[in-house]
Amino acid sequence: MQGSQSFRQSFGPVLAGLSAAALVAGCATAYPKPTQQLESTQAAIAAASGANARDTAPVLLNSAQNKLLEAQEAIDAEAYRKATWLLQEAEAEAELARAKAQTAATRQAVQELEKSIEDLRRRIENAPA
Amino acid sequence: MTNLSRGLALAVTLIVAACASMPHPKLEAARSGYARINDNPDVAQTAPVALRRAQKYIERAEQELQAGNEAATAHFAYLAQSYVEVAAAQGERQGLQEQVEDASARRRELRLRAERLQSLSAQAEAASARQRAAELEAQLRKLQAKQTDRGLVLTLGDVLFATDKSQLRPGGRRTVQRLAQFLKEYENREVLIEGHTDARGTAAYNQRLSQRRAQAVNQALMAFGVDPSRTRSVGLGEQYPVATNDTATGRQQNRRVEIVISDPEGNIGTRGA
Repeated sequence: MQGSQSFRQSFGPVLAGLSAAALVAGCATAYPKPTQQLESTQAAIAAASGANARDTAPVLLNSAQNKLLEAQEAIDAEAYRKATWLLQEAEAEAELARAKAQTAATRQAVQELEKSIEDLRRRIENAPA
Repeated sequence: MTNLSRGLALAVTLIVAACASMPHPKLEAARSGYARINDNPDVAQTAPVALRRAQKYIERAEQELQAGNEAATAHFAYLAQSYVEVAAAQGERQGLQEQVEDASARRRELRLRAERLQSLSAQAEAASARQRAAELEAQLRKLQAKQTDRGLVLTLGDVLFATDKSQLRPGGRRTVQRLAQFLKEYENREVLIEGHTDARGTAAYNQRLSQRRAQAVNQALMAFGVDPSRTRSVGLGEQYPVATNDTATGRQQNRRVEIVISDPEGNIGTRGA
């Protein structure tokens, strides 16, 4: 028992360090080069621009575009986890910008319709009987 | 178990437990946002993809939180929150889309109604214009007015006046009364009353007689309620015969009062123009 005791004494701290490292490594997924994510983020930004998000959600769209640029630098530096996260965030922001732009456009359509209905109603009321 | 391994196990348990029990504000926000929109039928119907992504990222953020990865927790909570907002915006848009359809239907109906009203009122206007024209024609026919270059001219013949006098006989008064009624109805029309004689007697006498007869008609119109500002009378003597002065019949035709009725704007064509 003496030998085993000394083994634990000398290797205890090493074991503890190893298990902590294993814990972190086990939870952290390995990140490959985010080629597909890059494409889908670029598509999402293009779709947001196409939906006039530049007018209705400029802050979100700018942020998405900046993150895309940063992600491309991270890919060049082979910092794939950073790149993936940036691309995911940029995609989410672009999609949100697009959704907001489309909602704003529909809201404006409702307002225009209501206004033209009001005009028609006034015209009908003022029409000679 | 030794003290060491027991201590290690305890430390790991404590770390995990501490991370699991400590609420992460961003993750909590995403979770409560998700709970708010999850049972909204508009969102469920139009944003299933965004909802699924939000849920997936919430779960992922929970795992990262359990594992004590602060940065990853924040990252996936941010993604979850973004997709919650995407789903909310898409759901809101669906509600607005329904309003668009509803308002479009209402506008279609109102447009039809406006068009119908417009064509009805155009028809009514045309009909009433036709009616006015027909009435005017009938009235003027009753007055025996004639269309001339100067406008409508109503002639009161010599027989309607006392011989050599300006006094209107009852027949002449009836005609003037009818003219007064016509003028009451057509308020924009004005009249010029011209007295004419034949060529017998002195020109001065004829001028005076024609003037007096024209004035008599003017006064009769006023007596029947026509505003004097709408009438003018003038004696033209023997200057404008309509027939020969060589026969009795011709001379009788020349002795007359002509009443020229203006157009609806009050214009009367000038003689000889």
